[in-house]
Amino acid sequence: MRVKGTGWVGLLLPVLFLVVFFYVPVANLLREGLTRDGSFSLEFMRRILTDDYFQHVILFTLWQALLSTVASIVLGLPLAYILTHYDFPLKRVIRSLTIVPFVLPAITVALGFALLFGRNGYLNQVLMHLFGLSEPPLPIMYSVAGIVLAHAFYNAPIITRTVHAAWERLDPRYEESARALGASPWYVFKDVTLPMILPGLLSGAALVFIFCFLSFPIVLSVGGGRFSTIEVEIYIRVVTQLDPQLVNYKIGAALALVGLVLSLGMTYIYLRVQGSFARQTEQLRPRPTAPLFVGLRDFVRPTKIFLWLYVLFTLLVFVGPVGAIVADSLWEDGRWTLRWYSYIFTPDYEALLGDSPLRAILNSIGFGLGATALAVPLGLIFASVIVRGRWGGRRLLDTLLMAPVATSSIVLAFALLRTFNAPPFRMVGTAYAVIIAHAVIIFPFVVRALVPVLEGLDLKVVEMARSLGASRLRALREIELPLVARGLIAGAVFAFALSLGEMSATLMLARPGLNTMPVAVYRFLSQHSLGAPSAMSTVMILVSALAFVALERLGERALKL
Amino acid sequence: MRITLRDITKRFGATVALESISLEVGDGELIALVGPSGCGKTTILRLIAGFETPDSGDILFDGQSVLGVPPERRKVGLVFQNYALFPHMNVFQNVAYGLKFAKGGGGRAERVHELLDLVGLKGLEKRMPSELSAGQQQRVALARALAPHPQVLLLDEPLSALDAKLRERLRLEIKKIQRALKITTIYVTHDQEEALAVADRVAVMSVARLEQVGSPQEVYHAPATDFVAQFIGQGNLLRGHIVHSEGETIILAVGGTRIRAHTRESIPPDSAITALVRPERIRLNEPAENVLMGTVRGKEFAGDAWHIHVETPAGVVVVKMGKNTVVEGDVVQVGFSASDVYILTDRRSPPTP
Repeated sequence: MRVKGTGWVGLLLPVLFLVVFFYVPVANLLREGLTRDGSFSLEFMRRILTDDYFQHVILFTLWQALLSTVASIVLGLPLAYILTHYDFPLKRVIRSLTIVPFVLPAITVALGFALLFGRNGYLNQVLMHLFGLSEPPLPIMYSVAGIVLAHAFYNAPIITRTVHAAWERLDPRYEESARALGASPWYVFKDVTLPMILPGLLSGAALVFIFCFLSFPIVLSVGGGRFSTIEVEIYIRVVTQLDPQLVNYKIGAALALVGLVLSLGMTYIYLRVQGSFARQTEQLRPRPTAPLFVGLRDFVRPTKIFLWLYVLFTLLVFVGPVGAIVADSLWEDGRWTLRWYSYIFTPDYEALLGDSPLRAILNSIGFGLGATALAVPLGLIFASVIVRGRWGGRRLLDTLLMAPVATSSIVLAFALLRTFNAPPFRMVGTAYAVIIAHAVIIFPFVVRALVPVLEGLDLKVVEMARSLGASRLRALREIELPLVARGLIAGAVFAFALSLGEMSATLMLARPGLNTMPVAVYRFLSQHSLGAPSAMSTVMILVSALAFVALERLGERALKL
Repeated sequence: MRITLRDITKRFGATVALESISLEVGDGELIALVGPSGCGKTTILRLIAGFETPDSGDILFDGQSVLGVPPERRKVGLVFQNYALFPHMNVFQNVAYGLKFAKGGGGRAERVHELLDLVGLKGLEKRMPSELSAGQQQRVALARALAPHPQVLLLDEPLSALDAKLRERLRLEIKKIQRALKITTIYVTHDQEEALAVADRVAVMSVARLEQVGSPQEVYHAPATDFVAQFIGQGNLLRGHIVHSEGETIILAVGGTRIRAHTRESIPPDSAITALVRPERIRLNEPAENVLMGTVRGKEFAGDAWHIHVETPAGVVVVKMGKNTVVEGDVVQVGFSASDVYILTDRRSPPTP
């Protein structure tokens, strides 16, 4: 369908939004990294690229992202295999749960890891008790291993999702053709199955690598500040250090430039792999599946034993941290209690936060509503142009949308800080800054969630309504809106949950009085104060669960970036 | 190679996919398995290829049971409806793939070129499957299946994804290649016309069962069951009962009229019976052994012929005519000779259409 002129005029709003609050500030920040005293200079670039310390930071960022990606593949791949080849109870639920990383706030993962794997965590306590040790045997917190494990927990489901999607869509007749030609099962896997699911694996791996490369809350909290990645380095330089000459701003900007170039490069690879993925042929016969659990003799077959051990291990790694949070929120001094919940809902001043916990909850809700109110209508316009637009326009819009995904929240907040720090656009230290940052961050995800909703709307029904005599407005009200209403609501819930879990940009922009729940959890956690953050995290997990149900409504395709 | 299916039964869960199927395919024969979709023809192919195991019965290649032999050791060539060309390999690599597992392994390139020559695709070795037309993909799939010298060629709806013109040309080519290589071939199709055109023998299937196996002429002119009569070609089924039988000649009462027919079976008088008359064997308003009176109720132009629908006491009879000589409402004589009446040997109640 051709887009009418009004469609393109409508598109101005979201594009203007992206340009003013994303492209201009980020460009401005990058310019800052490339200038000295107002003229072009590579001094700061040279400095971070030659200095041992900064080299180490950049290499460590890449290294931990690589390790985390490999760990995510190791953890996520077997589950993709099991989901594709076996039937078992709760299979549908488990498959759906693989979207959890998109809605679970990263800081809750960090908290769950601290509770489960920390020095005084449940795991170490159980091991000390069992073996009568005097020291915690597993120093997982504050180590690279902890960061990598937490990243793997968070991102393995993405690998599972992408590989499972590719594998399930692979027509078994390709493999059967190979077998009929004389290939043994191993050759079939090596020559046919693997090459054909590889695009799924690579695109998932690229996405995980980008997420881990840009990861901030987990590196900061699980790493305990001992490990500096590009994001952590920018945050520390910008927020916590006195800086009369603005040297740290310059260095931060130069670091942001390096990080952005790297993550944009990876995003480009990701999009290329995604493209090659699209040429799969249509599948006519579904893949056969077998029951995972047949009978008691399963327990003596080596492959089945391996599968069951894996299932138990993944349950520990995936359910453990969340379970630890919920347990801790209900526990104090050996007794079950609801004290932490009554505590976080009181308006009393808390020194750790510089404000009351209730304020953080109210802020979170307010910012979430504001960001949703901004991102959903703009995203709806953007998505409808993507869906109805001609192809050239669509590619451009897709590209326009990917840059915010490839930019870390830290860099975005830093850019907003530096750009809107003088009247008439003085936003630093205001709620508006947080709301706008949240809206920019969630915008690409909202668009991606709304695209399938609009794609599912058959325009012929609108034409049919009009040919039956309904006016354009009436067709919109009586046909289109009811058809997309559920998808819109689900998209809004998703947007709200994303905003609620956002910590990085908020931490950069927040002044006392602007704390949100994730920021509060971070501040409690960094002071080793538990209980209250667990109660807050449980509230966030509940909201995530709501968003998870909403995403389920949107269906499988909602999160293909 | 000779293929024998001996009393094969296969169930998927509660549904019976195949019920005691027995079939013998001779060495170098091309047999077409034809039937409506979901009747189990593809399952037979998958059993022979080794992707499924029968619940009971046996499958023999040259008298040797192959149950338990994995697909990669059965030496079958397989062509699917969607071709299943490996999308990450070019034409050469696709055709060469099966040669990789053949013993010896020498002369691989020659063999690939030989086959691409055979299917008329010389010079396209470097193309990727996505760069080929549907017809070319089909030929590559055939070349790939034939490359490792299979003992059997299994074709699963090989032409269904192509348009009508190309389908007709390719089915001739497939038959030519099959003749030249003298390879035992099982050709699954839902298109009865294709089955009649291509096969040495046709096996007609209804749901889970074999209805009739015979030459194309046999299944067309002497269908064994009502199902075959209705599935193969166009047919007028006349239902009545026998009033008189004398040697091979019988007299039927059909809708108040008597018609004469021949049968080698001895059928007792008063038995209910179904007779088949093909539309092209019927003449209008010409003297004939058997005549039914009727009224023209409709006409269809089919390009090479007219199909005239005549309402008679025996029901609506379709007549195929080269010329358009009647108009709707005309009272006509529907005539056919006794030798063009086929008595169906199937006494089961006819399937409801």
